[in-house]
Amino acid sequence: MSDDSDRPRRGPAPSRRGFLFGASAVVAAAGGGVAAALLRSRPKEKVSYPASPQVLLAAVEAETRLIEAIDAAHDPAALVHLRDDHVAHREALLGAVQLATGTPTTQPSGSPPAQPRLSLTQLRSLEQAAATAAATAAASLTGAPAVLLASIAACEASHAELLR
Amino acid sequence: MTGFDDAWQAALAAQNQAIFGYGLLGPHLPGADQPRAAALQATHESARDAISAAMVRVGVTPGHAAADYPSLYPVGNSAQAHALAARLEDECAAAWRVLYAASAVDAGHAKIPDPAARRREAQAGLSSSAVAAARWRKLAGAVPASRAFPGL
Repeated sequence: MSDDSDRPRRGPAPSRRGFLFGASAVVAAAGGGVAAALLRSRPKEKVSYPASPQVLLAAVEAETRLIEAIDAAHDPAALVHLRDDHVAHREALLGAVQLATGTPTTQPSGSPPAQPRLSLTQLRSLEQAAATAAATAAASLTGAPAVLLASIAACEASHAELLR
Repeated sequence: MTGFDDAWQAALAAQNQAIFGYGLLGPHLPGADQPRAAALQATHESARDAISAAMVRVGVTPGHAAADYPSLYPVGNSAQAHALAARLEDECAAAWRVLYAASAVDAGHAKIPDPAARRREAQAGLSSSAVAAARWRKLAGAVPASRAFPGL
């Protein structure tokens, strides 16, 4: 039900993480790109990362919940583009976790918990709450992961608008 | 000039372009959409004023708006007006995202006036422009209306 492997994707999904972070580094120049470059330069070291992976993993879980919520909506086919966005968010966040820790991270492959059928109004509330949470998480980070979450927050705010 | 200053000026320039652009496209929109365009133009004017005031407070000279923006032409019908409105907001989102990146550096790496405030402003602007761009695309019937990573 929540397996996204059979869903249509926009753009070249397999390279999206790399593209996103590469682009972030270029765009951010002396800002977030510095942190991204630092993260890349030491992927195999055992370093303590105080907050970033935990914040990012929480964001991964939030994206997974949103995907499951869309799958449980009354008309999920009408929401395929919103779902695609969340899948892209989750991939990018998993890429950010890997950059931060040097360890590939995957989502648990078990069946998702049963979701109640959600109305568009309920889904809109979830998207709005996710936007707020992502912006708060972004503000707790620095560098490329912060910028990634800031952009995800903006996307989820636009989802809430589209669900009006 | 620092990287942050460049990003700050670019965010200001994007607001100036959007203000001009909405004036250009507004008359070509269907009547029902014109109040939305006017409201968004006012939003960008407020952002321009806020950025300019913050710059002046820290001794940075705000850049001026251009006299014209030739790249925004032609706008001759409602389809072009909707497309331009979405483009203006996408370009503002990109500028806000760059400003966010320039503000979200580790403390001590750069001299940024009130970085927390700059990040809040950039996040608000990024989200606002993403919402507006999605709304314009929806009105134009564009699919998909959202962007997974606004500003990228």
